[in-house]
Amino acid sequence: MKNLCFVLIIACASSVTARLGSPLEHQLVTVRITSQTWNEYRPWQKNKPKTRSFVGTVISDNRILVLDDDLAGATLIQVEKFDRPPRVPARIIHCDHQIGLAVITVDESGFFDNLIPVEIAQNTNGKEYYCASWKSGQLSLDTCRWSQATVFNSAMPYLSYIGIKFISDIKSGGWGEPVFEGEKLIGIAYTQNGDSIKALPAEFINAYLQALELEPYPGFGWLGIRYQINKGLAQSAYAGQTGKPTGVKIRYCFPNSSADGILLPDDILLELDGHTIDSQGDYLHPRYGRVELNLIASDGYYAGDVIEAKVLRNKKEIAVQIPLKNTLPSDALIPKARIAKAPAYLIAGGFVFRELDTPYLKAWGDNWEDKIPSYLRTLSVLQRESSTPTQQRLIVLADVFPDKYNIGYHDMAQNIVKTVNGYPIGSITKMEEAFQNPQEGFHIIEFMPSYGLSKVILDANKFNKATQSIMEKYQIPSRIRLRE
Amino acid sequence: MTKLVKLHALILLLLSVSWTAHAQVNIEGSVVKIVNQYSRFSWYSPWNSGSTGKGTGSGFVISKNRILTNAHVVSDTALLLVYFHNDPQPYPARVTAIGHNCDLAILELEDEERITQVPALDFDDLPTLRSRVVTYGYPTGGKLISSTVGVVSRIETQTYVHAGTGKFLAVQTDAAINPGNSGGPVIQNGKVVGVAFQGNSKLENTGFFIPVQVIAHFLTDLNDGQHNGFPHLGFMAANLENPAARAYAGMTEAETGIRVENIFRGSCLEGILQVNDIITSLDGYDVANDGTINWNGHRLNCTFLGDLKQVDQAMEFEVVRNDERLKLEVPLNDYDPSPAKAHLYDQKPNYYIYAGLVFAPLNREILKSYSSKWVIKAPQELVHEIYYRPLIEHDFMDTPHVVQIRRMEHEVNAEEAQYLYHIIESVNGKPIHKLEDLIPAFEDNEADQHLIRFKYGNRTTVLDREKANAAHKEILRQYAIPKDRRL
Repeated sequence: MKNLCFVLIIACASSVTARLGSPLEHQLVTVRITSQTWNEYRPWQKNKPKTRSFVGTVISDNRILVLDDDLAGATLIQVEKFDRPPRVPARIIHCDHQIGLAVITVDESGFFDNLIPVEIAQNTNGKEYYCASWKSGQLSLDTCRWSQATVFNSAMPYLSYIGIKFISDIKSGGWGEPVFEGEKLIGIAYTQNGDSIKALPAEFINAYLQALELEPYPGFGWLGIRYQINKGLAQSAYAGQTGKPTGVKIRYCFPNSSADGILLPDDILLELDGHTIDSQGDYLHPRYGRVELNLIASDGYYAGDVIEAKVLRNKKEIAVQIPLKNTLPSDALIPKARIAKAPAYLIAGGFVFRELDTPYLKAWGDNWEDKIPSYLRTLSVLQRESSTPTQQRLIVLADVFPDKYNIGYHDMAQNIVKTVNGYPIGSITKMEEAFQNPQEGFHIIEFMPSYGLSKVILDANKFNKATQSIMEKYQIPSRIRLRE
Repeated sequence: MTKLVKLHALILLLLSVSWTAHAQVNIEGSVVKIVNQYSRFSWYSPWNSGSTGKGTGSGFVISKNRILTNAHVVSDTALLLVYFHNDPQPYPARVTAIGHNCDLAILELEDEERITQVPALDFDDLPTLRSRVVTYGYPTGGKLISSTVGVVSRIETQTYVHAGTGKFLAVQTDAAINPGNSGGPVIQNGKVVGVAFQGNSKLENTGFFIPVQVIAHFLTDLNDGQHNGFPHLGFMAANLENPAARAYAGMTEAETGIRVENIFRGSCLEGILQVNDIITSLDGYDVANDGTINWNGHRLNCTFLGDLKQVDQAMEFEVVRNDERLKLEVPLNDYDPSPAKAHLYDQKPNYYIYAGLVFAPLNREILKSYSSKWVIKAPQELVHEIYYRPLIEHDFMDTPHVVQIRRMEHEVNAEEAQYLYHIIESVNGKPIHKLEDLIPAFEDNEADQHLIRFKYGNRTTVLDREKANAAHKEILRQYAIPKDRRL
């Protein structure tokens, strides 16, 4: 019986593709993006370009909705209709790297004449779902079966959002395929693992498109809390609760995040935006059921909105207001991502200094967490969130280009800079300034204590000439790039 | 330097016995096979019987009723049996001294008569490079003695992997040294020049033996009936190969040396040497800009000189400090920066259980119980605490810590937040540094709940005090744990 149903659904779906002039053919385009990332070890140069194709969904006002995957680093964006040439150039109207969506358009006159915008559903409610994609010039429809709605952390921090898991027949999906219920768009697929695809739901897509109407674009909020469960009677009693435990215990807040300074360590968070928080950190969502509390900050709210929380603090219930903030990856001491920015670096006497971030660590390749030096691993785990105004970044010595000027220091890479000529270093800008102030004819670079050399002393009088000579020898075109 | 040479001469003389004339022909007779029936306890389930098994190695007679072998051959032993060449009779033996850092051990036979029937082997000095050596032992794959021939291919300091914490002088040879060879003598001209002990899987046809300098140190150390180990100088220094670094230090063209960068808390140098001192000479040996000394024609790291000293001896440092040239006499001590980082043997694991929560000291064995790849996989606060924080905060390198490693689930604890393999900061407000601190912290608490606070991330675990006390013995019984502590 089950097999029979499956066949019927496929048959129904196929009948849609078989109809000439199906609206779907006029609602999906192929977006071809060529992008180029920076070489993290050699931050003045770029890696080999790569080209990937996504499914773009035509929406109102001559716009195309597409996943934002490397779009910020795109060198060329092209769009083709019906998965066939000609390709025409496109441009970005807006992209939100955190939610992973972008809106692009094509300026060529008449391009949108035979395209039809999709209707976006208000929500994901429905019974029968399918996703659409182009496969070798043919429109392909694949059934989708609702599996689960789960709160995820975005690949580009910091955002928590709902993702819908579908079990689907689609092959090699997750490239922006629209998911439909009937003729309405209810989601955009952004990743696939086996027969499971995850899709951003219509609610979130609508929220993004509505945010585009606002000036300035507000971005989405993020609470920035770390909490522990409160299931145990002993812990809840210790906090002053009687009866069944509820709420979660705040461990700490991400510096400068929405909740920082408002929710305090050891608070029990009982309610958020009117939702009762259970002892596991979930709340009852009207459509998705029990989901994790961090969704509240992005579900119907933008940065700048205020939500109310009820907490148990020092055994008394109090209400607090949390103005939501959009927290960017760059707010962290060791950013997990660098949005559309080139790495800041400095060449000094053959030493390559750069700001430490996760993209740099990821340059160790697959399973990079296992491969990076132990010292960087402990730093990246323990200190990534502790950015301060004076310590905006950690500066890592990425490499040393050997030269007789820097002899004795050739095996020092991966140390973290503490001071230069006595000045604390929290950015490449500070480092450049510090090198303008040698100490009695020497440049003194002090590193954080580790099991390697902790101090480098260079002849300041020969510094500029040596730097220039080394750059010429190793073909380094530019000495410095400050953080953009 | 002269003191050093005299010391060695004395040691080697003491080791020489009257069997020299027969040594050439009787080497096989003096080399024994050692069978170790071991019992190794689990740090994860420290109240259980340990894993048992059998290992074999080699050893050789060095004096009346004394057999020298590797520590790793006899570690965690429950029963030791010694077999002599062409003699099927097993002879029970016991370990009388063991040095895990230098991977050496002394055995004595219960039957003292048997050992007198074979000659004790004489020791010689460090063999020269490219000279021929012969290994003797009982490698895996046969019951009878085996010998292999090779040349000395390299002499330098190597990590002794048994304890895994120290580098000592080692001799590399292309004579085959296989499992089972460990503890056997390496012979040159009828005399012992080393003890075979480890290989390197990354290198082909390569084995290593412990040279007489390390053996002599071990045996001399035992003269007072105690094994105190090797002194550790307890400092880190920077090479001064860059001319700017030497100029900045105020050194003359003729001077060479290294700059002190870190002095470990508790080491013999604390209060004597200072950070940024330039060490130009150690015990009369000039220290090169790369941190090496020329020791009898061998370029070795200067810290090797400390390995030639006993813990109650002194070393002479010549340093440049603020343009002054100083001679400093440093009394060495038994400071060891790294017991928590070492592989541990021959000890029953310590633990304390309260209401189903299992606490243990933070050490390498505990980390290994988390994962064989603990450096990568374990909570990074543990790696930070053991390796990096003491450098940053100038704390003791081996600051004791307690971690909770398990929870034996029971109604009293199962629903409470748990954080395994995280460092405990306090229990009921009392700081916890070692297991013993836990007992009064729990027992003296009169509040309704016990509060366990972890050091990182504001994590806490709470237990109901009365229920926890009531459940304590029941949990032990349910999980068949005979005792709640070994301290």
